[in-house]
Amino acid sequence: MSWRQTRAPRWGWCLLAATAVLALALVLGGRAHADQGLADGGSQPTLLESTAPVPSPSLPTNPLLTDSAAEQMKAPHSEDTSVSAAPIERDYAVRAIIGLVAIFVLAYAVGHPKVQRIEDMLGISSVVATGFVFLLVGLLASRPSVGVLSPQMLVHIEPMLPLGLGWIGFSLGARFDLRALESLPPGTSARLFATTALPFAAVVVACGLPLLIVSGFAKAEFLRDAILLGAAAMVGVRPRSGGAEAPSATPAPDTGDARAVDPVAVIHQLQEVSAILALVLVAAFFRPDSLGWQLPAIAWVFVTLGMGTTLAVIVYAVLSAFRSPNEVTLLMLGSICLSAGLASHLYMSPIAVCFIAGALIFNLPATWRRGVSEALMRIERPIYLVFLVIAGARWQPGAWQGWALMLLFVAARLGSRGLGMHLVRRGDDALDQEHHSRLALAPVSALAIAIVVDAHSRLYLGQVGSWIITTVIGGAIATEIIVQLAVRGRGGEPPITEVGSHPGLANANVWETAPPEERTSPESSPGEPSAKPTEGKR
Amino acid sequence: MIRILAMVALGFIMHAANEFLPDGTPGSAGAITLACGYLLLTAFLAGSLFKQIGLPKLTGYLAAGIVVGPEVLALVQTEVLGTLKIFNGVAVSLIALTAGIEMHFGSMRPLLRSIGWITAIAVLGTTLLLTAAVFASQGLLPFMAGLSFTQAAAVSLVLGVTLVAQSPAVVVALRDETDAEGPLISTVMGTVVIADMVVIVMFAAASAIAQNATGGGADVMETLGTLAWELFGSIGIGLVVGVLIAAYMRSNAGSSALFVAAVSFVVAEVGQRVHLDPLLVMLAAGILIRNATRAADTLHHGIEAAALPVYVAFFAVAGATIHLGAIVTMAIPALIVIAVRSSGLVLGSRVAARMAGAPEVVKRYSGFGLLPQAGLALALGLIFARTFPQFGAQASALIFGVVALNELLAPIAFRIALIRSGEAGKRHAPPVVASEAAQPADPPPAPPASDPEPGPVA
Repeated sequence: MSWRQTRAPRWGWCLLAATAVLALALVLGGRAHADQGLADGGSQPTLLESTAPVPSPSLPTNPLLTDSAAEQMKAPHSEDTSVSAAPIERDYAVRAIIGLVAIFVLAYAVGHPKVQRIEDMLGISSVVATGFVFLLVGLLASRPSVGVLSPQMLVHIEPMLPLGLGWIGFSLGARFDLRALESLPPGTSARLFATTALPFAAVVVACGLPLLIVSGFAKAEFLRDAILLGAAAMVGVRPRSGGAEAPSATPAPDTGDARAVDPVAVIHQLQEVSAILALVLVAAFFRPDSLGWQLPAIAWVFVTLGMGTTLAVIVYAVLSAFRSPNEVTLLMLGSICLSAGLASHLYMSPIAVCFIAGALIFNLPATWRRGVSEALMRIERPIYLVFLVIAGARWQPGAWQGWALMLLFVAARLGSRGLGMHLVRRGDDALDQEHHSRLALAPVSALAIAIVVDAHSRLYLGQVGSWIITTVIGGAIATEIIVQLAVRGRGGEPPITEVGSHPGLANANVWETAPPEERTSPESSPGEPSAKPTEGKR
Repeated sequence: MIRILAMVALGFIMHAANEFLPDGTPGSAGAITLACGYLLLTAFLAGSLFKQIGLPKLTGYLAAGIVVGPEVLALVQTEVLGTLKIFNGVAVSLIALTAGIEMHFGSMRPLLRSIGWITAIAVLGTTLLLTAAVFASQGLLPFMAGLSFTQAAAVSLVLGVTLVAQSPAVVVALRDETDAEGPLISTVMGTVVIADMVVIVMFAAASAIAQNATGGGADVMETLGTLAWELFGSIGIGLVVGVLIAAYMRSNAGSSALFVAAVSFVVAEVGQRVHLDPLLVMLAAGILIRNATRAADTLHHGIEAAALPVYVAFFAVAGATIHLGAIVTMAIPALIVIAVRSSGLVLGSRVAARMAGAPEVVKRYSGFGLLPQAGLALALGLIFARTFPQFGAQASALIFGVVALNELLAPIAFRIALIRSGEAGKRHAPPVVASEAAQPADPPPAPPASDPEPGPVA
């Protein structure tokens, strides 16, 4: 067998060739390049700029920049030309390569089936296992000592933040099934009150008092911050429900067929809606002063609703004209960019606007829903992970106030949920003991982190904003630990939480069985949650 | 109709967003995201409209960019476009990777003779023709007034090299759009890729000559050293990148789109900073993957999903940054240059293909594939402006004007050529029976490329 026919020698030859060419290039050109850089004190235009040169980012007016970050930005533009720009560029290049390779190795590792099996075995929610890891990566990468995500780089990739927030909102809206509201399982109101209103009130009171002491009554900023924490407290990670645990079915009023609505899923979706409603109100009533159009606060609520609706109509109309997967992917990417960018630009919440758009699009009759769902799922994970990295880069965990608030947040949240579910459990036959416990001890959802990042990125800026992010992120980790300890302490199995760690389309919807029009064979087993939002005639 | 209404609605939304903040307010991250989404949707819808009237989609993308860009409706601001140019690097990298994946040495061996002859005669010959044309048109070019004979000749040479540059991006985009396959498209793709490298080397040499002639004092050895690094370093690192991509594909083919997009981004961003050419890096990577691994087809399928949004954004931003003013101020010289360039490339290709014994379709139509211009010519124009500050800005206006017109018109001509050659639609067509495979002297006109969209007419 000649060397041409074997793969191993071919790889070897390729590597050898690459090494030889690289060595040749270094010998011939590297010295001249370095000398040129030292002599000029600045980067010369490359002879091979087959792309337009990347513009130097202006110093952003982002108060989130710490002083050290601002100093780091100023350093490369120093007047001292004795410091060569070429070594700085190479240093940056090496750091950027190392950092980005590390991120992608991490992304590959956390998505590996073996890692996910370990997560399931330990019962660690993916919020912590995956989400926190990427937050940490962003945090470390943005440190001046590491310098991978320098302020200049962040300026370039910051537009991904609204996109990530919008994607989360759209995904949530896409799986929101309006039909579930037509036949709510008995006891839903009580459970919703116990898991939503009570934690909200408890956290607002518990965290609002220290915030009031810090911020004072001026502009009622303490109330804004407390409401955001309350909204974050409302949403919990949804446990993965199996068919064997399905509650009793409820006959459908029109078809007479047995259709079962997963009461836990309904609660979680209503929690998400409640949290997003709180976000809308905060965005409307606590807007940055004197920016843009001057409208009454309540008018901004209607602007949010109208914007989401208008965008939904446009996207719905456009989607009906295209079929191929690549085109649908592009349309979804463009639509969510447009919606989230518009919301962010107008100082509204990208999550809320995109949620409204997604809910309307997916609840209108259409035959292309499955293709759109697949397009969304195709790229939602990388967008979400990049969003986490950027969110981590903006996170400033150094302030102790955030960690102190975290203690109050966790205590108020878990305490109120536990108390509420304890009161509700009496006379609630729709759920078993296990479901009641899981609703009471639900870990913090990734949506909670998205809510505070959303508010912090655009709605207002300030010192307290970074505390709140610390509170929610720290609260997610602490809650996770407490839940694990509590469940194992009772001798139970660790909860298996939602796939993918974020409120995406990969999670089941509210239906335990497919609606009658979706069933393809009589053998379709009841109680198996469908993986995608339903489509077809509604 | 739906598409037109959607574009109008999107335009109103964008206008409202622009009215939100006072003029001069710095753009936010949200504004950039908004502009990106708006450009993607509008350009894509415009492209589908253009396709319905028989024009190339990418002309639609360009036209949309022109209309919504700063020079017409100003729905997308200049400051925002500066940030969106980040797509340029990723797009060029992806396009180069795609072009490299297509270059299978085994099947290209019969075409190498044609490629070599066309590069030598058409490209080099047209360079000399353009040099002569610019030199002869001195009276029409204000920036050449006051230059001595030697200086004018040297500057004309640099401009001639810049103006002959072609565009692999447009060729690849049209190949994908028309689903073309055959000796014509293979020859054109090979030619534009090799011609790119030849143009880069010629530009470096001509630029050094012109700098010396105009008193700039270029160091020849330094120039050669830098050029060697940029050429050989790019190729070497490209081979390493190719190995990495292929290794990743072996274990994780499902997420190749994301990985390749990320690699393209890293190569584009980091490559610029260390004076490497992203186009050469990814081209070398693609060539290695095609010729030394079995991952080429899987990779090509995987990056199709990631490529479309990048291409649309790339051409839309290119359209939005077209210098329409340059077309007006340099109309007559630009038209002269375009006429000389087109004639030189088309006729030169015909002669070269005849001398190489190329198939008939290559003889008749290969020149049209060399007409489109985009990123490389613009980049060389910018470098020219920086290298010769005393008159570079005015000279670059000529370059930008020529490139703008070629960007708009040349893809139409090449698309027509692909259809008339019979290669359009062959890429995913059922295999031809052997007895029908003989190439006729004059191939009959092929039916239009198949429309993958069964949707309603707008």
